[in-house]
Amino acid sequence: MDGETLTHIIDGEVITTWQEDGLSAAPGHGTIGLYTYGGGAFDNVRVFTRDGSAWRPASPALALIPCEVSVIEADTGPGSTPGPGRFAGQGTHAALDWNNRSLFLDLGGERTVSRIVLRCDPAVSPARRDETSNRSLTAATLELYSSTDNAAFARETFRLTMPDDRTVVLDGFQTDARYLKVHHVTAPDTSYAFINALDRMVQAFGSMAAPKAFVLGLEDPLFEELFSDTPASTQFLSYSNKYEGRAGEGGEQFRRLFRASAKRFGVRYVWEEQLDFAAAHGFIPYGSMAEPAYRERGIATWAHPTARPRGMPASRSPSRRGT
Amino acid sequence: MRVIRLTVLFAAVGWSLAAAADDGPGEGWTLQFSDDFERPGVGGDWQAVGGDWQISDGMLRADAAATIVCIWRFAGSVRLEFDAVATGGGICDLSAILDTVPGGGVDDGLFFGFGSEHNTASKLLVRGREVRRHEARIVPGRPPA
Repeated sequence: MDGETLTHIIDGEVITTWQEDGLSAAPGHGTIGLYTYGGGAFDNVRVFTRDGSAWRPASPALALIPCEVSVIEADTGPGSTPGPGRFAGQGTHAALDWNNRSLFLDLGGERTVSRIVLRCDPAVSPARRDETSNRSLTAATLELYSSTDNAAFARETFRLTMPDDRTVVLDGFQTDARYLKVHHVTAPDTSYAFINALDRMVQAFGSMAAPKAFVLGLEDPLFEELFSDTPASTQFLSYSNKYEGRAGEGGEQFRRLFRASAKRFGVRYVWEEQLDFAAAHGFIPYGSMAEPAYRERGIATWAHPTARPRGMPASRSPSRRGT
Repeated sequence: MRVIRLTVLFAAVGWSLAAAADDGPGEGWTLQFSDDFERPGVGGDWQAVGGDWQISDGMLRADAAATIVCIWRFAGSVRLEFDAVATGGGICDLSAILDTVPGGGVDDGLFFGFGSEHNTASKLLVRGREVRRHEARIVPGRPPA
């Protein structure tokens, strides 16, 4: 180094300088960065060295991993609460530091993740455009969890840094996971301030490696249920239940009944299989013949639900006796 | 939209204190890295730390509150030059950081803030500690240097 002086030059004019011992690069430092707060465009970046060198690290840079983000409210059991939560979708704003929320990230496949970046949007809530929007995000209030099965979440230890007053970086960890949770332990008197659109609030970074191969674990009970004589779900699922699958309605019950099959082949497969069955056997289900699935199969429908004896299910599998 | 253009030069370590004007890197400086962003994607030489960075019209752009670092490492005396244009509705910070870390930001290196604090001041921060403050501000409508 040729001295330890900083010089700030704008349009060719030296506007300020500063000298200080110990400005030389600390271990791990040595790169340059650009920063804008109000929005900016940068061009013609050039880096010179004198009495020094430059190199590109051999290890690949961490890459941004695409993910779907949602919020789990009042996640008091972040080690086991599955996702996704509410607000899934782009452009949906939420506060992280409120109501013990967890940001739930679905990476779409198992990835090696080693950094999480959180940032707020000062434009969302002008009243909170102060210098402390990330004040409530600390090592004591943030927890990071990872999971491969969306059932059991392991808590990760991490390093927390704040590159600026809008950004919080979690690194110093490495995990192979598909699901991540960034959980905020919210104090009762917290006034939320860390707000952003969900898809902009959090980013996960990891290696460029392809997702690990998905190994399908065949479970004997499922096999027996689908391909053996073992009695299993025998109720016929009407097409209309596709639209009535909300909690507390009939669709939820059918989803449970056919969950085993749906887990293996997907709900769509289950429905289509039954619709094919209805077409083959001339069933007349409730609904409109204009429904695409009915129309494609030429299934005649009845516009009103058929009254059925008290205590009997809506319909029963023709493979079951007494139907 | 208010748009300004300016040229900002930064030099760290070993620059002449007596110089009132700067005519370029001069003798002894070696160009180690350059980027004119004439491509569609940000590419592998840059790593977004915060904000949404993208390239359009041959410039590296971010809407607001954004930090990006170069993955290259530079040893010895370092001089960073770039052109910058304020593009947002609220002009604030067309700034640079030297000697920072991958994933780092304003407080991790030597921060050369230009038009900081909503374009009310410029400042030098040494690893988060303010050491200099001056009046230089981003001037809306100023033509390129």
